[in-house]
Amino acid sequence: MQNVENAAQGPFAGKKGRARKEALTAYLFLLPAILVIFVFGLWPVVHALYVSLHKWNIRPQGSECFPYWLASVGLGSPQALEKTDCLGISNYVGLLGFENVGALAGMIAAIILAAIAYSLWKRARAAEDRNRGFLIGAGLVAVVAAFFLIRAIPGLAESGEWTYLVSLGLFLLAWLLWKGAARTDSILNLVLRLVSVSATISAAMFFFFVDFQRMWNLGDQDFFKSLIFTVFYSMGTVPIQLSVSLALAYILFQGIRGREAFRLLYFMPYIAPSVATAVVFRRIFSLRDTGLMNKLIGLLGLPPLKWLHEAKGVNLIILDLLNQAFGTNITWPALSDPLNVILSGPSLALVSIIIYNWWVFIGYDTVIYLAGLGSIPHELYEAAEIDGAGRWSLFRRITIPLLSPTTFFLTIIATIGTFKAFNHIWMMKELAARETVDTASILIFQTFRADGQFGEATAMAFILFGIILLLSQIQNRVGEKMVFYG
Amino acid sequence: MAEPTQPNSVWHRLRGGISRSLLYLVLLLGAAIMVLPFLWMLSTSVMTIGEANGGRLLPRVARLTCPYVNLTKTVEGTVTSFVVAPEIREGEQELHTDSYYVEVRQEEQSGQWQFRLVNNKSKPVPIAPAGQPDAPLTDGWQAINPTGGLVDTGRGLAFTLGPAGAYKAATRRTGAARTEYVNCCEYSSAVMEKHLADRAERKYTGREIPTDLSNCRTTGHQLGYFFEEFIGGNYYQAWKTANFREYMWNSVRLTVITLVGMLIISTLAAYAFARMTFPGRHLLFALLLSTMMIPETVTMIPNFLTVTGNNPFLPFINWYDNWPALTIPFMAGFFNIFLLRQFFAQIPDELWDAARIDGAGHLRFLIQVVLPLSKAPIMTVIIFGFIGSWNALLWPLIATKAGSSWWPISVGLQNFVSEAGPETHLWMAAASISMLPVLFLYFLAQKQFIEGIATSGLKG
Repeated sequence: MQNVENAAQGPFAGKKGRARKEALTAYLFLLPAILVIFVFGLWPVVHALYVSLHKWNIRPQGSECFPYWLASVGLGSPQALEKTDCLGISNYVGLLGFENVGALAGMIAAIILAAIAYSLWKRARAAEDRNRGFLIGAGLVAVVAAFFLIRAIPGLAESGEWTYLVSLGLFLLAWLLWKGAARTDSILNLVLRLVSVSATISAAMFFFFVDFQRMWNLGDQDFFKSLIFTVFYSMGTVPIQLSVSLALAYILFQGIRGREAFRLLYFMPYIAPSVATAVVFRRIFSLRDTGLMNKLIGLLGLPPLKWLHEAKGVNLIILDLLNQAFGTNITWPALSDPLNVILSGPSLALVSIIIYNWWVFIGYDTVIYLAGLGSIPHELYEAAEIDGAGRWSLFRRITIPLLSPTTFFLTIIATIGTFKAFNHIWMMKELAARETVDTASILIFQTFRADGQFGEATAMAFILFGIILLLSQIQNRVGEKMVFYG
Repeated sequence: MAEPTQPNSVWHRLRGGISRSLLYLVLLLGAAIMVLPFLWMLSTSVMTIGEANGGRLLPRVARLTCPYVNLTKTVEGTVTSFVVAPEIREGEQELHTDSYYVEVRQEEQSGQWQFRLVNNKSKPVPIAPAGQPDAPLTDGWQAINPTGGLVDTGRGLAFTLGPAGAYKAATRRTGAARTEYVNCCEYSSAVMEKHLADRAERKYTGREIPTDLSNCRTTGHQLGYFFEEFIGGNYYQAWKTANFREYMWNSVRLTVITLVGMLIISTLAAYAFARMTFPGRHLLFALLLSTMMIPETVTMIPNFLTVTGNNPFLPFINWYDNWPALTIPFMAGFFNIFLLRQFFAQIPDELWDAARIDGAGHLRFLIQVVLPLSKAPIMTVIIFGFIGSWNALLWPLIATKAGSSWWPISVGLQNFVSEAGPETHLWMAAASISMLPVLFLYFLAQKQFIEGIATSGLKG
């Protein structure tokens, strides 16, 4: 290195040479990181996408996709055509419950074309008059093309998959109406918003009862269930976790003596290895009458429950408890399946895991909220107090809006965290809880590890990845509107 | 409620005091909820099985003088159950981490003391009669041999529990006995030595049955004895017989390797991104940043294929069930690079100019100037890396085979929990062992832990 530096001539001499040398050093510095991240972070995405196109049971039995594709265009050895495990997007089709490959492809094409049409429309609104007509025209062409493309795809028209377009159209209509309402005055505004809300509700109902029902019937019900359980898990943890920790942080911020000590204790569950704390909670939620949780609810006069061993939905358990308490005999109505799974609520086993999740993350959220509270300028409170604001309105009008970036950050972290959660659920999973605690990550792991279905597992993982991306996009959009960055 | 007319009235102060103590009450309740599971774990980890499953909150204070002789239950003066050392072989089958109990009874008519071995589902397990290695196995009641001892038959362990008198004595104490160690207390040193010699003679295949009975008073290892006596037999059992010693050592090694690699890789990369110009910097940064979004469920299957040598471009990598597979993928998390880059970029350019005038290159500047200035973010990276590595479960489960000698403590605990019966007391001992290093470091460096995570969490 020093030799190079001292040399007056050569590739590293002069101003250009120095820049070249710096670039080379930089690449050398980056090399190990790039190697590891490429091999274990980026390449796997490509590889997983490739695996997800196969019937890949531990290893593919027939030919893989590349030889197959090459062979089918006349390159490579024709043997690849005879026996192949290349399925194309069939794994996705089977998981999501589309009737055939064309239907899923048609859906994807329609969504892409709709997105193109929308962006053209947006540009048309911003453009000058001359271009506007052209852009609107192009958008219309895209919509018409989308329509005909979808009609033309074999299998789509007769399979009834076009009903997706109904719910999609209704959602779009509702959204346009809502946006339009913002620009009108009181009565029309109200009417438009009401129409928009009802359109949204009917779109959701239509989607759920027609489209989702069909996907459920044709697709992988275990996978859909796992997604529903993941949503339960997410909805059960995030809001409660955040509101409790906001309250705790707010109290701690009131010049409490021993704040550091409280913070230290609250943070402990987060810092302790979740593998170990999950084991502790697995015994706390024991099904014995003498388990800690059963003793606690015994103090409230409730009968012992089976906690992590209970596969029944909480709503059914509550109904049972009410029936016992009042001596009534109301039975759970017989419902068809996706509705029944959703209405029964998370199983008690999943609720136990949710409770564990509160315990772990409330401290973490509290510490982050404390940091957020510390950054709110004190003058704001003083000024408001001079204006005669009470404690509650200080909290409501100053603290909550000024903490919204923190809340936003925590919501994203927590939601994505619940969608990725594996360790503690795996440690707390009792056989008796059956599939009711199998969130998406657990199901993917089992499909991969226990069943050896690598192709299906990667396809599931990609769908989950898509959902996570979509969620973070939605949250970003909502965040832009709701978050107040001082 | 009447509003106070004067701000300094007694009522006002009283109300302030009440609301203040209410706040403290809420906070204390919160702290109790946060800490209670830990305390419960510690308390249960020193209980006997009976105490733990009987729902006691605290162990009985009166402990035994003899380790491992804890009779759980006495029914009309008769000992009913013992826990036997978990590693008992039945033929070639390895039955480690399962619990066995010895049921002991005194026969009503003859007054003879009898025993049999049952598994944790109360089903009798066939064993060879004591002292008759070649006799057929039986799962019935057998008389307790007056000479006693543990006999390895080659098809299983035949054991007797010594003279009835010893058990009458034992009944007066309380608790259950893990037979392997009953010997320590109930037998003369001559019997013990013979037994140890018997076991030493035999060659075991597969996992070693712990032959180390150094905790016995008879062999005079005072430290081991002290450990058992006062820290608790459960810890001893988890540590030695359930192999937590090995898991802990693995975890320590893996964590250290990961952290060293991570620090070298991420400081170099962060420095390059923060303080050097080179073509493609932004593109590369964005590309690497995007990996933070990718969930582990997507990458785990291709990574499994890679470490097992099934990556078409890297067929020479064969790290499965070995340390590189468990450390190298964790070394270059982009979050660390991002965190350090943010900090390195804030270091004033004047320092670099001065260093360059003194003839320092980038590497020397990084080591001698930047790193000493960046203790706080490096500490944060270490803490994140340490917690992440200690707690990793999904990937070690995938990258190791069953019974691997590279199992970290998380997988060891997972395996212990799924294979042992619901032995709460042992679970809790194992959980405490795996938590201990992390909590120890947390209390040692609490400020760095909390502030590091709070501030970087907000940035990341």
